[in-house]
This record gives sequence, structure tokens and C-alpha cells, in this order.
Amino acid sequence: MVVAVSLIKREWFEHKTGFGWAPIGVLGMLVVITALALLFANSAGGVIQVSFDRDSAGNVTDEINLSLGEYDVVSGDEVLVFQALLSGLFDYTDWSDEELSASIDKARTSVALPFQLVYFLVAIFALLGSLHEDRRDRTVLFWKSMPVSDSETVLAKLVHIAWVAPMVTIVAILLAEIFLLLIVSVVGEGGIWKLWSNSGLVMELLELTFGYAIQGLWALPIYGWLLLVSAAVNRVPFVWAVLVPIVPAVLETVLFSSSILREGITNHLRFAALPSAASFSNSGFEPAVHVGGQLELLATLDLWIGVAIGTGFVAAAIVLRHRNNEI
Amino acid sequence: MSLIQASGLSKSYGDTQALNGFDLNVEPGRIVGLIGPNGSGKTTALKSILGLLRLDGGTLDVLGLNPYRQRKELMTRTAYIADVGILPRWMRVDHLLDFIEGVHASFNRSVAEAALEKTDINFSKKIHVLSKGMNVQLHLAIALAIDAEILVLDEPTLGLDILYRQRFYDSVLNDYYQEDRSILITTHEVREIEHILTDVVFIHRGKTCLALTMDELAEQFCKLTVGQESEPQIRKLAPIAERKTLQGTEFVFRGADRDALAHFGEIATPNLVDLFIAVIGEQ
Repeated sequence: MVVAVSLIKREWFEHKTGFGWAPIGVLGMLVVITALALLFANSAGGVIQVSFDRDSAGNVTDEINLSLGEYDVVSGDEVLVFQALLSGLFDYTDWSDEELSASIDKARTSVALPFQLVYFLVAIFALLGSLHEDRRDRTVLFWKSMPVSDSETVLAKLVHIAWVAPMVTIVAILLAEIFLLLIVSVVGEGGIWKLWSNSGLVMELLELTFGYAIQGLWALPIYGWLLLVSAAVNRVPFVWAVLVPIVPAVLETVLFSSSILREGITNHLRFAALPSAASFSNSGFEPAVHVGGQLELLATLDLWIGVAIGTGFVAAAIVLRHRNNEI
Repeated sequence: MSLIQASGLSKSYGDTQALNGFDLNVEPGRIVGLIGPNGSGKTTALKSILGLLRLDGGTLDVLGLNPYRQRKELMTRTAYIADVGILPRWMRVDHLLDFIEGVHASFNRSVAEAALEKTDINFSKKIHVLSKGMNVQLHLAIALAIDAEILVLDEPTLGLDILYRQRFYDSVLNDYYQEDRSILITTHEVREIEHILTDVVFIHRGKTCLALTMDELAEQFCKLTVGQESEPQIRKLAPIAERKTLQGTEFVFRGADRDALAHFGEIATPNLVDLFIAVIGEQ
């Protein structure tokens, strides 16, 4: 256990910038953008009007319409709702709890988006470098002079990136949302209790935690593949990691007119990149996959096929880590 | 019992035969210098002993273990220092010590810290801000704080100034060397380690071409320095090497009768450089 903790801590120190400071940087940028948006909205002199499209039964549909003072109405795009939320001039006095919570839900999805993308990008490059950089700078000779097996080394890197590093991202997302809710509490109208009781923050914490826990499994074929490439190649791991899957995917389409491989890859990439925002169906991004949906994912064959393939990749990475030393 | 027993090791990289019948036997309490020209297979030999590569052939037993298959077990009982560049540059000194303390059962942190107290190394600094000399001091402090039976040094003082090099070997001798431990060293600076070695192994083209203790060396080899006039006579006595110097011509003999040679000129025990040139040059 002490060994495991030491190995994970080592990984954390190596990637502190990417997994620790980057989400904090995104949070900082969000604060700055919010401040600018507030200034802009003030100078536009208007209050954002928000109305919902309803179907014939009176239920809220996906469409949300916005207007800012005399400016044009926009609708349907949650990113713009997020911007409206940023501007902090919501007047939600007349909204039902359901409408408010639906709106915040969409806004949360948008807030989480940049954090999750940054995490995913950092994870990709951390994985690609994980068994490659130390061979290039020859520190592999030092690491291998420690009584740590190659499987312990590789698994520590995987566990850190997939299940430990996202914790900072989760906290940063929650802080961003709390920050925005505080802004709305100050400048919005409609009652602070109503706002916070519909904020869904507790649910968000659960969704993100489950999201990343399951994402680690869902992304295992991707993560395992990146580890394998990192352990295998001596130069330009990124190019290998991208090109090697593309060629068979294209061949499959050309030769058999099918796209199982391509769909498998994009499907896994999508939810791996945005665990709390993207749907795992093929219908594109959908707002927050809720805890129930995330647990459903565990029951899909897709996930377990991916876990099996990913486990194979990780095992191959361990074998290559054993064999390959400095470049 | 030998700590390291290697016989007939072979390893090739593509067309290059890095090891080609390499033998080595290291007993406890020995300080063995592994000496050979560039590309002779020194580093490959050390790597195979450290479990860093899979051999093509031969038998290798280090502390009763198969190094390639049992590297983890081996490394609890072996310490290793390569040249200065292999400590992780991004890591802080104290975090590195934390890490080693966490993963290494035979590492005694207080020993390492006591050694580091004597240096100018600041524990909260990252390794990339340390000088080359400090890097080696740090690595040495770590290696010497590991209760190991074998210490492997692969060009450990490469690129260091003479002061650091001297201190390095002094520390190794004073703080590490004991009866039940052995040290295996490769270096280009043969002169610097000559006086600390108990054994010497010459490797050439991946093969052991000479392995003997320093005592055996003094018994078996001698160096005769003569003036020009007796050169033809000496050549008939089958010296293994001949070299012109300012003092005259030096001949190296193997297994020759010292007393018989003594009346031709000055007899001495060849140093490792003489012997290296004689033995490697002969081949």
C-alpha cells in the first residue's frame, strides 16, 4: 500500500502542472470572462429575457430563447444560455423550479465542458509521454534501479491518470459552478433559496465522480492504447497513436463498407472526453448523463468489450516496458 | 559463494554483437573494474547484470536471481549509479527521497539525509537546478543509503571535475565498502580507480579477455624499460607489447621470469593503462 501511494504520488508530482494547475487556470479564465461579461451586459443596459419553448402539452422543450435588451433573440444553444448565466442578469422570478433546474442543468454542462476537454487533452499527452519520456531522457535507468516491477509502474501511471488526476478537475468544475451561482445570487432576481435548491450541485458531484470512475473503464481501450504506443515507439508517439488506428478503420470502410472500428473509436472518444456532458449514444452531445445513465453504461456490452481490449493493451505495454529501455 | 556469476553471455543488436561470450565472477568483498575500449560491451554487460536486457545466450546468476526475470527482487539488494544525467530533473530532492523511502525496503533515509547535510544541496530544490557535481552527490547519497550487496557504477563520474571524482571514490570506499559487499565499476578514467580495485576484468569485442586479481596481475605481468641497444634481444623473449617512451622502450611480459629480465633494465609492475594497451592492442 505504501508502495502504491508512493508511486501515485510520484505521478502526481510529475503531472502537477497538467492535472493540477491547468484546471485552476481554466477556473481563473472563467472568472475573468465572467467579469468581462458582466461589464458588457451592464453597458448593453439590458436584462436578459429568457423564455422556454413548450410543446402542446406545455412541457419545456430543449429550446430556450434569450434576448438581451434590444438585441436579437438566440435560442436552443446551451452555450449561449451559459453566456447568459455568465452575464448574471437572470430574472427567474416567474420560472417554475423545473424550468430553473433545466436551465442550470444545461449551464452546468457547458461550464464542465472546457474543464473536461482540458483534462482529456492533458491525459492523452501524459499517457503518450508516460513510458516514452523517461526512456528518452534516460531516467528510466534510475526508475528501473528501484525495486518496482514493470507492472506496478505501468498500473500506477494508468490509475493516476484515469482515477486520481480527475479529482482536481471535479473540484474545479464544482468551484466554477458555485462561483457562477454566487454571481447570480448577487445580481440575479428571483430568490436565492430558489436558485440554490435547484442548482443540482450535490447531484453534479455524484455525476462527475461516477462519470470519471466509469470513464476510466470506458476509456480503457484508449488509455491502454496510448500506454502501449508510449512503451513501444522510440519517436513521435503521437503520430503512431493516431495513424495506426486510422489505417485499419479506413481499410474497413473501403473493403467491407462497414464502420464498426471507426464507430467504436469515436464512440469511446466522445464519452471519454466529456464524461458528464456527452451522451454515449450516437446522437451527439446531450446534456448531463445522469447517474442512472452512467450506471446503465456499466451494463452495456460495449463497455466490457472495451475493457477487455484495453486490458490487452495495458498488458502489452507492461511487456514492452520490461523489454525497452533508454532510446 | 559468488555474488555475480556470468558465463558465455551473448547479446546482439541487429548486426552488432555487443556481448560474445562474456564471463564474469564477482566474489563478496571485491572491487572489480570492468575495463574496455568504447563499444566493447561494458555497458551491455552491466545492463544484463542489472536485469535491464534479455540475453541471447549464456548463464547469468546475480545474488541467486535471474536479473531479467527478477529485477524487482534484485533491486532490493543492488544499488546502481550511471552517469550524472539519470535522476528525474522535474522532481524535488525531498520528493525523490520520499519516493525512494516509500518503494525501497532497503533504503535508509536518515543515512542519505546525513550525507546530504554535508553538501550544499537544498532539499526543496528541483533536481534540474542542481549542478552536475551535486547530481552525483545526490545519487551517491541515495545509493550508499541502500543496504545493498552489490553496487554497480557505470561511468559514474563522467563529466565531473577532478575534485568531485576524488571525493566520489573516497565516499564509496569509506561509506560503502565492506567485506560482504562488492562493487563493479566501469570508467574511462582507469588511473583514478586503479588504486581501489581488487580485481580487474578486460572486455574486448564483447568477450572477457583478461580477468584477474590485482595480486595476480603483479605476479603474472611485468614491465621492463630498456635502452635502445637491448631492444632486439628483448624482442626475442616474446613480450606481449612494446611501447616507446621518453625513458626508453617499455616491454610488457606475461608469465616471464622477473629475475632473468632484471639485468636488462628496470623492472616494474605494469599499471592498468600499460596492461590495457598491451592486452587489447595484442588482439
